Amino acid sequence: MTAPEIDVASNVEHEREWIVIVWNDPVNLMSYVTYVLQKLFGYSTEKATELMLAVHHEGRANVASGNREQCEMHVFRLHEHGLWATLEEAR
Amino acid sequence: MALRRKPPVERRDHETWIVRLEPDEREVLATIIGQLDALIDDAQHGTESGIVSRLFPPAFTHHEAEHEELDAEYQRLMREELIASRRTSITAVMTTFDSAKGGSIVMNQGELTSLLQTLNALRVTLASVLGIIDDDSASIADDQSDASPEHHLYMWSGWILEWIVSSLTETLPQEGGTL
Repeated sequence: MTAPEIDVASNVEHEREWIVIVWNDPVNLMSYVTYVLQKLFGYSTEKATELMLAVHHEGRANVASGNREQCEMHVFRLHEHGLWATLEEAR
Repeated sequence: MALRRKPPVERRDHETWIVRLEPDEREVLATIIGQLDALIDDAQHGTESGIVSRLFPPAFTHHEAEHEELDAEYQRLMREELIASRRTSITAVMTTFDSAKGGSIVMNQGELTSLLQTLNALRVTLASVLGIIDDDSASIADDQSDASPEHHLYMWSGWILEWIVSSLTETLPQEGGTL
């Protein structure tokens, strides 16, 4: 009997935590950014507004976290809506 | 005497909205959206114009060299899907324009969302044409008195976008989650 092969690298990658960042841009309307954050992540109006204002005043906001695959999907959906979003490893 | 115009976007019932665009407004929008579609088509075939590059931003923050490799992999896998998504929205919008009666178009939520995403993509592209790259240049553009047709279109599409956002916000659940 042989031991099952374990993809250690893949498991480690799966466990690393990533964050999704929305960056300030001069085009997207504040109401639009708030709406997109509510729609995609289910945030309350208050929470989405708080994040939108962080984007506007501080230049960026962390809007979600998870493993890389989950964060890539979040970024894709934000890009579909025209927002400038990236993911990076949580520090 | 000024005529009071009805809202450009209004919820009609639980499932449909009325979008009020006069035939000449639709014609202008259809023309410019058609041009956007052509630019996205060029991007699909590897001849991307710089003015649509903001529609296909990097996915990874480039703090480390590893992230550049990850971004290249992401773009290889997802770029085509993003292009397809944008073109699907554009096609949906054009189809609703064809179904317009007079100055009104009846849209369901999916169609209105397609209009929302397409108008936003149009604004992002027009911003590149107008040189709006940061908050300062955006303020200058806002104050422009001798505005170009592109500038008028940028402002007008933003106005319609605000109405769509306002109307679609009514469909969101009242209680949200937490970060």
